[in-house]
Amino acid sequence: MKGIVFTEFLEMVEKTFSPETADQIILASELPHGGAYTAVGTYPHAEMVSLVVHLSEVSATPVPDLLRTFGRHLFSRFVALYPAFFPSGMDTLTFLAGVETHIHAEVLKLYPDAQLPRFDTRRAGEDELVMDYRSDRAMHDLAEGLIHGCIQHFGERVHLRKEVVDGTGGTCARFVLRRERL
Amino acid sequence: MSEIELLQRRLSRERLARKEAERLLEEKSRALFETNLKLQEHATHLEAEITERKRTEARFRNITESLAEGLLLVAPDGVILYANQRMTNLIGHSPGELLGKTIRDLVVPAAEGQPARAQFWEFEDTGPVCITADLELCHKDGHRLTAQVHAAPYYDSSGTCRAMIGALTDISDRRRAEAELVRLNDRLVEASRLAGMAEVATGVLHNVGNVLNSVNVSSTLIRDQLRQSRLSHLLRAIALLREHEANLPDFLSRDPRGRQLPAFLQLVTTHLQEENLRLLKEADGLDANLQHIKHIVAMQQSFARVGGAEETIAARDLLEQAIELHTGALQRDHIELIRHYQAHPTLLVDRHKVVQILVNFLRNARHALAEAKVPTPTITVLLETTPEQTVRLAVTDNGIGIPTENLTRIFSHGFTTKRDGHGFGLHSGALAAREMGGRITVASEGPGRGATFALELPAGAASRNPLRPPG
Repeated sequence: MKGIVFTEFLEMVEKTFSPETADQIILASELPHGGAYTAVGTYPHAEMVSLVVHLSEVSATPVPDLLRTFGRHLFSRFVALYPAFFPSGMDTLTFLAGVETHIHAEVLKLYPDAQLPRFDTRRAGEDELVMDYRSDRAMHDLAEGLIHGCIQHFGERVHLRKEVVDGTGGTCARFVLRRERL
Repeated sequence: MSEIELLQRRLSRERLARKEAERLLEEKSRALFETNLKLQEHATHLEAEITERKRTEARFRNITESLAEGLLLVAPDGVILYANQRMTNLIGHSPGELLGKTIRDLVVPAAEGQPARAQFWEFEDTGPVCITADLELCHKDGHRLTAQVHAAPYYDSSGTCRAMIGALTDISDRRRAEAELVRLNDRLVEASRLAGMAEVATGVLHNVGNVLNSVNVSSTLIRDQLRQSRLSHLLRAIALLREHEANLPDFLSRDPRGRQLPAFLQLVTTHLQEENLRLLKEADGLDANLQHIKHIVAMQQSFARVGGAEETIAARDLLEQAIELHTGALQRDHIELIRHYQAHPTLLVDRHKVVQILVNFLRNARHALAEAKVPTPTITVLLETTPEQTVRLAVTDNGIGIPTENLTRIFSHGFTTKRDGHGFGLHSGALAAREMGGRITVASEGPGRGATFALELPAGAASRNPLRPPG
């Protein structure tokens, strides 16, 4: 998992909870490098799971809620860090429909070893998009938070429904987005 | 946990993170440097390749522009993609004007009766194939020209046919020259036909002239015989009888002339009978010669048309017929004729062609003997079958012979060593022999050593087993 996810996660913990909480979950996770993450590094996915689980324990907040919250935060950071990917005039459904072919393609150019989730998208009409999520890491809640962050960024009224595919252990989920015209 | 301890741990993590970031940065920088080197190398290669390509393109353009042929690159839908300068000379339009036009814009429309064969430029249906065709094109100034086009598919590096490339040559002048050639050839054929007819006429005159010699001799003999006829003696005897008509018994019994009259009449009758036989024989010869003239004419005509009727005939009979036509002449010239008939084959031939050849052999032999003035002029006639299953009819004389250098030319039309010859007899004989699937050969050991002319024919069926022609 890319380091930026870790650095932004800890950033969010410090801001949302406290620097102490961040320090606490780092110590509790017994990380091999002591939690010294850098945005350009690559780290094991298990460390993120450990951090999130410990934060859930410390904050008495369910893991899915934490991941969705983190997703919203992460999207806002992406907008700040990589504005070229968010040109004016873009809308929620168009942006999300191009995640796999546009955003992930660019990420892979920079980090050929990056392990990214796969999004198969289909426009079911001008105002409807179906996104099928697939990832061995089963972090569809994080994806949901990112989609919410996207909707919030473009300022549109979009209804999001998530369906986790039974029997997949959360590795497959479908997001159905329906835009409401103002 | 004190705030100081917390800050120390955060600072420691930040330091570690910074070191990790610096390590990664250095690693990335190194990778970038190496990538940059590769890019520079690649750029250098690209630059060299671009330079080479420009040079190649310039060379290619120079070649295409210096070609004598017009060059067109045509897309599958017939649209012209490229044209060299030569096309301007050919068709009047500049390369710029040609771009975007279709090949059909340049071709004379089919509706005007010209072959519209431009479809090969539009190979969507047939697929690309190499084609050579003649196109009737419209020049910009309106005149028409004929261009020969060699078109071939133009493939890109992936092997896909992207266009047809065609080289066009103006063949209008050649077409006109070809038409003129056809016209001249027709005239040549006509002239050749007339020459052939003249050759036939020459042959007729030659052969008829030869036979007419015999006819002339025969008619002279008949006239001389008639002049010397004993018929006048008979008339005198009749006049004597009429003179003594009144006392005929007394005249026949007492008068000395009357008593000799029966014996005289007997003698005259015997003479007249002998004379009649000689005249009949000569008349038969004359008739045979006249028939031969008739056949000569028919045969020579057959040279110009088709061959005469073939028949199965004994080779010996053909020789005898030819000898018969020379019998008188042989006797007059005191020539001894020797026959060596070693076989009795039959031939399927046009009788008169063979006889004509043999007559020519015998006549040439007579002339050779007449010139040689040998003490025992001899002609030997040979009939035999060869190991190759051919029939050989040969005439050998002990006359003046033939120089070696003449042996190869003797069958050529017009070649003769005789003062009054035409050089046609052996030539036409050789042609006739070849027509029958046979050949004529000649052999001589040189001047003063005689010569042998031989006609070789396939045994049985003549034309079905042709022999190799002489020479």
